[in-house]
Amino acid sequence: MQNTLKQFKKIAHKVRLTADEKSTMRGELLRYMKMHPAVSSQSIRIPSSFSISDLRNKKTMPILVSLGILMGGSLSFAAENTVPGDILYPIKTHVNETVRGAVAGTPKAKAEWEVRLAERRLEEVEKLVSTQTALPEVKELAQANLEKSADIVKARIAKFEDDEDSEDALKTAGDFSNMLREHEDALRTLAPQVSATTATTSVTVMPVTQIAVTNPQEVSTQGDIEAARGFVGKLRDNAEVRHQELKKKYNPEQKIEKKNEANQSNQKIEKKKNNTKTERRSNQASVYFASTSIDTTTSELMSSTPTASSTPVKIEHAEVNKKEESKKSETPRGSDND
Amino acid sequence: MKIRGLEDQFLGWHDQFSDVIFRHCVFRLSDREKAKDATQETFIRLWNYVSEGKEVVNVRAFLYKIANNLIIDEYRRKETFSLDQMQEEQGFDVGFDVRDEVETKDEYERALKVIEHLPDKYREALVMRHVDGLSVKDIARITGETENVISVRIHRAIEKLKALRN
Repeated sequence: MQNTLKQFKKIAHKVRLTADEKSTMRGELLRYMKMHPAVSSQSIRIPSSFSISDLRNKKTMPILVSLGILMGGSLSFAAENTVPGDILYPIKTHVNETVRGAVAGTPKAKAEWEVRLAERRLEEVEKLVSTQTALPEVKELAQANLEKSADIVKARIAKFEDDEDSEDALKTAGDFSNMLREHEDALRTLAPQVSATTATTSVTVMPVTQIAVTNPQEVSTQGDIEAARGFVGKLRDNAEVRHQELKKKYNPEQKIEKKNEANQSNQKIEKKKNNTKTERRSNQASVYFASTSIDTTTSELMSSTPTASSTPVKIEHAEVNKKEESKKSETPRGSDND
Repeated sequence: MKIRGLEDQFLGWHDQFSDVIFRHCVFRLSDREKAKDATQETFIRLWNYVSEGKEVVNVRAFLYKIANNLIIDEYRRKETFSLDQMQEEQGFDVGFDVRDEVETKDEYERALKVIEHLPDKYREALVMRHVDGLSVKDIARITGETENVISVRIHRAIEKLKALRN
């Protein structure tokens, strides 16, 4: 057997192209290459640390370019703060959001973006319910949009669960319920009566809301805010239940731990809620208290974690503020009566 | 500049690998001209691939894969024939470089004749292993089979060779 093979191999290696044959072939190939040149967009290569084929979403590069061009354009920038009913709103949704969404390549990135999209719809709702002149149909539309965006997030979580992707399912469910809770709290603190003197404390950062000033429609606005808060509360409830469900499913041992964590954060939030009720009861507190809470909420949202202690707030009534601060810390923890 | 680089790179691949691919094709197709055509076609297809900006991690393996596919197509196209028949009809030239001695040529022709009778898959595995010197792992990757299957085929091919020789 060895002989056979050895012989075979020995002979085999003598087989090769003659010099002529080789150069002829080379010439043929060169001709072919000239006729079918390399695609020139190759020269626009992303620098060596990764190549185009590494990007799972092959559309990323041109999309990033168009995004840069777009956002540089004032039109899409102006569209960012619009709500349904505004003329530029379609640009916000169909252009800005489409482009930004397309950049999300992985399911994880898509999930993050979808939560952010839901937040954007929620911000629109918040803005509208605080606006006197908004039409009820528009407010309803905004709420319907919010519901749709929430459904998309839920579907995404369900898909992660189907794919046994516990990490992403948990993260998305957590992000979603946290986001909803933050906004629900913001809406809750917005509900108290707002009068003319708070005009100076209008909020310009997240959530994007405007404090209503004129009196006659204040009641209806307040009603809307309450309604919105209720709606968001339901979504939040639903989201939290789902999150707990997933936590139990994937981390049965840690169930108790997480429950304690949840209880703690609930306590913190309830502390704030009780403060709200206390505020409502006391007349003179209501005015600047609203501003206190709002600023607190704002800075909370900015740090994106609910905190037990309200951050010190710059207010005209410094002394009273201190009094209220101490009042807050003394307020006993109560249960959620909502 | 970058395109120039690619062309040069490609021609370098040709310098480096055209002989091995040719050899492989000869032993698979038992026909020098066909082997030359197949070799050229293999490189053309490689060019088509890389000129679109696609990256190739292992050029050698990739070339073998393309060649193997072309050979399989060729097998499917033609009917079974025997080497004897070909020799009678066409004065079969087995692709031997003229420099070498006549005896070796005879041995060579004999060896080729023998492997001609191997079933396609055995021949494929044998040639890749003992002509091309590819590892079983590489062969598995190129042909899309498991290493186990390849090992078995090589073994059986050798057994068959022995039997045929006798």
